[in-house]
Amino acid sequence: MTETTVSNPATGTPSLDKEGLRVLVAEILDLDVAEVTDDAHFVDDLDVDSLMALEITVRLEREYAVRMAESELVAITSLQGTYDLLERKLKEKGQAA
Amino acid sequence: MSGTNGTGGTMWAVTGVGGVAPEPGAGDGDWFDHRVRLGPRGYKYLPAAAQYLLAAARAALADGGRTDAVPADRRGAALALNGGFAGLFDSMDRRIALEGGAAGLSPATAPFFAVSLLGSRLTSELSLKAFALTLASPKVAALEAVEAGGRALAAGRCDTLLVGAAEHRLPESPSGDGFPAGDGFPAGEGEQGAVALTLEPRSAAEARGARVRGTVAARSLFVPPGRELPAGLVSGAVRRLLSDLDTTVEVHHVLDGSPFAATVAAAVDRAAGATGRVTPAGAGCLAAAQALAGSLTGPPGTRLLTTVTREGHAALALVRTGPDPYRGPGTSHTSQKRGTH
Repeated sequence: MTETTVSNPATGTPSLDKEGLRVLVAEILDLDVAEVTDDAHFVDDLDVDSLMALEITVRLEREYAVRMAESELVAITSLQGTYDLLERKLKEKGQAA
Repeated sequence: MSGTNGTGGTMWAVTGVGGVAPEPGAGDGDWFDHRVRLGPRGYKYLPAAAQYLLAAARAALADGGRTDAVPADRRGAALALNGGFAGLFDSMDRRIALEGGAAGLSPATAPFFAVSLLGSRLTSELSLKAFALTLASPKVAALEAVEAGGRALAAGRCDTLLVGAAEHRLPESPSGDGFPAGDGFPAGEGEQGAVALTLEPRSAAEARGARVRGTVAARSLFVPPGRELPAGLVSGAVRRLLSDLDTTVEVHHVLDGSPFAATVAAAVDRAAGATGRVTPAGAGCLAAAQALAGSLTGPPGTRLLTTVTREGHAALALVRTGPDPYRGPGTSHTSQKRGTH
């Protein structure tokens, strides 16, 4: 599997890279990377169902060492939305550390 | 009802036979590409054995099987699997025990937590809604699937039946020591592939002009380990299958090398008046399924297939291919009268 995260040696927090995230989402959804555009809607454009939405969430939590609250999952509807959510979560985590 | 084998035991028409298996020497990871075999998207999270089964079922339909000749709620499935999910179960166990508990399970693969989920995608894709049964008895499961599915056909629980068997290689030992994963088969080895058959009453197949590959019936036996083989048990089963057929029977044994298997095989030979050819059983139920498929697609004849295991399981399947033995000249069986209608 393609590595998508690199730990920040200073904080231990996984770093976020949008292209790496795109590759990860494409791998999870069994799509070509080119299909996962920034704004492609996971449900409407990429046929993501509830099971695959859960799969994305679990994999993101594992890869980026964050926990997603249920209320935050609504943001995981596109690559850009997912990236923005992860960026915020990782920043919060870094500040907490 | 379909053709019988003389004493009321029903012989079911097989209208489609399909299978997938690696070529000898094929690498583990390169002989089956689900994107090529099944479709570019949507099959990634199916366990390998379920992917093989789906491909085999599609091949059986391409071979002439028509599960859709009847309404969805009249289509049944009887499936077989032994260790084909073992690798998946091991990975789930490791994740739960060592990597953060059940919350870390992959939601897409977690639905396949039991062998009975082997056919979940298959039954959905082919709309097999009458019932779905998965058998897991060591090595005999595929023949038991023919028997159990045949009972369901006879009882009127379905009008067409898909019988399938699938296996995937046994998981690697975590320590990499090659310790046998089961029944002497080294970890990382085992059977890979699947077989699927479509069954229905012969009368129904003929009514729609289907080509019938052959007819099949199966029976199973069990003797608890350590007990003597009861006198007459095997001969009675063979007699009920063969009935009063007066043709030469070709016998094929798929055995696991145990004394019990040899004893049962010898009893089958005596009862059938033949000397059976012996081939080794695999780690799971696929070898018998492949032998059954081979019998159905081979030259015309009457064949008795036996599978026996050290655990005390035995299963027999009678296969007839070629001219209908109940209709041809020179046969005068009562089954002619009991047969198709």
